[in-house]
Amino acid sequence: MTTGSDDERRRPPQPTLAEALGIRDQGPTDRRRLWGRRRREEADQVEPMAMDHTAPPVPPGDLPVTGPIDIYPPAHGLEETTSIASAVRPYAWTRGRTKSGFDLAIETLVSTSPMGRSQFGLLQMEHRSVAELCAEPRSVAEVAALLSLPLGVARVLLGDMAGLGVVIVHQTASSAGSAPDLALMERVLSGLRRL
Amino acid sequence: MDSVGSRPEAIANTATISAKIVVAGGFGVGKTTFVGSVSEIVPLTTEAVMTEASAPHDDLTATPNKTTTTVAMDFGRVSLDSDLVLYLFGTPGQHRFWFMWDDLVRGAIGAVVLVDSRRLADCFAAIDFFEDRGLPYIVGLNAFDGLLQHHIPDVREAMSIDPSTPIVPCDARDRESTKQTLITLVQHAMQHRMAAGAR
Repeated sequence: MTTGSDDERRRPPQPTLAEALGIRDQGPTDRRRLWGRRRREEADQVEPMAMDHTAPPVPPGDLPVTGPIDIYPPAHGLEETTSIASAVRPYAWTRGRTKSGFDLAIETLVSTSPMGRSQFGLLQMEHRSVAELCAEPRSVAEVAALLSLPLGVARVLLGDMAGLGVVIVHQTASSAGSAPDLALMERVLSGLRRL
Repeated sequence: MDSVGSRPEAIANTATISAKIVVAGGFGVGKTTFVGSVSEIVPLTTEAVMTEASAPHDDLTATPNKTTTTVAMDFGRVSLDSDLVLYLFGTPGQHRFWFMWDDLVRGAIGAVVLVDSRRLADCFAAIDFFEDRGLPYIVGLNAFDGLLQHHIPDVREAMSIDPSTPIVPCDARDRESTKQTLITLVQHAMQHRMAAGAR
């Protein structure tokens, strides 16, 4: 998997989260390039947010501190506009990262933690949208679909939020091993029969 | 605690387990219809960006500067119990998107390969892939207009499918038929699992 080659990605047909949140996009091209450059510089950096054992080993040292993603673009070169719309283009949210520290399968359920609920007002904008959506457990795929985000972006975002303790990551059928166990399949079977 | 946090079910839900089943087949064979017939939500679509990872499989010679493509997959959700949710994922229609299938099949219970018997070749790639990954699958012969165009033994022979792999007729529009197809798959996956455990 490589990072940061989304510059030519076509605009999704459905409204993006930025649009849903009422942020106007007033001139994306230049600033998108700005982010593109920044993204390449940061392409190899991984945030050390995941204390999970599945997290890939990250070298200690000059890594960025874990925390809310800065949604504002760099100040230079943006004098002509005050809009921050391009800053919330999907991969800008993730600072160009395309991998999450958490091993999130597409069907993995996430739900807002009690901490996420109590600190809702303190969350950054995009985390708020996710926290609102995940008041009930939702899969990574649902979060991506309902917020019109590419799957990879939703994964990184949810990985960050899990690292911050804002969302709880639930177990999947295959969490324990590579394939679901018989007891779980039995439960799925009886569940299907009851439908 | 705010009003959201005081809802007891939000706490109780924290141990919800999710499982998934993959629905594959050629373009237009009825994957989304199949998913939609049992899903409690209108099937959603999610997009993933294809990167250079797919380059060996994707012919980019005509568009050498193109480095990304967006692919979409449909999925549905079925709550089987208060703490158990089943997701049905339709594979992207184009068989070349292997990289995404890996993600799709990892941890899946199994796969339903939907087949239109008039276009058997459309599903060969899917079957090869599942056999290669050792993912249990069954074949659902979608009966368009309620009619099976070919007999099941003929289809089995034409596709050289192992005799232990079920081939069942199904109608993707019919909830009961879809349900039965999924039941057959889970039963097959359990047998597959027990056989693997016995070896």
